[in-house]
Amino acid sequence: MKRTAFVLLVMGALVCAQEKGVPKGVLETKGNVSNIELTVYLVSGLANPPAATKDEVPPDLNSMLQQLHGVFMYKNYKLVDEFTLRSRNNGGAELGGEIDYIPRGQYDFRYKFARVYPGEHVVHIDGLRLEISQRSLAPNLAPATVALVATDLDVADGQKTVVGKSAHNGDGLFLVVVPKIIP
Amino acid sequence: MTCPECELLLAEGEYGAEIEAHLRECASCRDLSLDLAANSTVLESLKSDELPRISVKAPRRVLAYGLAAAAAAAALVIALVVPRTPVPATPTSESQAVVDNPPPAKSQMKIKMLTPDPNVVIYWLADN
Repeated sequence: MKRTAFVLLVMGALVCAQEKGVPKGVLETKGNVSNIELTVYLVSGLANPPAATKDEVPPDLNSMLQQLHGVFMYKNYKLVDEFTLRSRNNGGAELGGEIDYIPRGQYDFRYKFARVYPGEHVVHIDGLRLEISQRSLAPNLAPATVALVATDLDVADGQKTVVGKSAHNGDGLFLVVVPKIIP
Repeated sequence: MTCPECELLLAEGEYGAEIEAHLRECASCRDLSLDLAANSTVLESLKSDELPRISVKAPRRVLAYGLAAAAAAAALVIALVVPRTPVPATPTSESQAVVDNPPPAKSQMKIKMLTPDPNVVIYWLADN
C-alpha cells in the first residue's frame, strides 16, 4: 500500500514537471504555420580572383550582391552551392554532400530547429551550423574542418540574411539564408 | 607522374623509385609525404597506450532503494518549487536527431553590418 502511494506521488510529480516544460506558444502555432522552407546559398567572396572574372551569382541575389560590394572588399563573388530544406514548424533539418569549394571538399549543413510564433513573420533559427571539411588522402584520418559557421538567427519571412566569415586564402565565405513560411 | 597520382600512392603507403623522384621535384607532395609519415607515427604511438581498467560493482539493494527515494524526492521538489518561467521550445523528436553536435570550439562575435536595403541583413562572424 505504501509502495503504491509512493509510486503515485512520483508519477504525479513527474506529470506536473512535464506540464511546466511544455512551451505554450509553440503549441499554439501548430494551426498557423505548418512548414518552414529554408533556401540556402553558399557564396564565396574572392580576394584575388583570376583576371577578367565577373561575379557568378544568380539574379535572385543581385540586391544582396550590391550590398556585399558596398560593405566588403572582395573583388568577386561566386555561387558555390544552393539548396533548399523544408521542416515542420519547430523542427530541424540536416543536409550534407560534396562541394567544389575545395579539393575533396564536403559540407554538412544543419539547424536544430526553426520556429515561428503566432502572429509573427519572423523565423527563429536555432543552432544553424555549416561545416566545410576536406577529406584526407589517408583512409584512416578524419576530415579536416576548413570552415565553420555556427550561429542563431532571427530572419523575417523572405528576407535575405547573410552570415559571412573569413575563409582560407584570404577569401570570405557567405551563407545566405532566405526563409519562407508555409501556412 | 602527376601530383594526384603521387598523392594516391602516398595515401596507400607505397614508396617507389618513381615516387621518390617526384618528391625530389615537387615541394607540395614532399610536404604531404612528411605529414603522412608524422600522422602514421602518432597513430602508431596511440596503439601502445593502455586504456585504464574500470571495475564496476553491482549496487546493493538497499542503496538502490535509497537512490530511488532520493530521485523521487528531487522530482517532487522540482515540480513544486521551480517557478513557472517560460522555457525555450523543445525540439521535436525529428530534430533531436540533429541536435547532438558540440558547440563551436572558439567563441565568435557576431557583427551586424548596416545596409540601406531593409530586405538584406548582413552579419559577420569574427573569431575572438
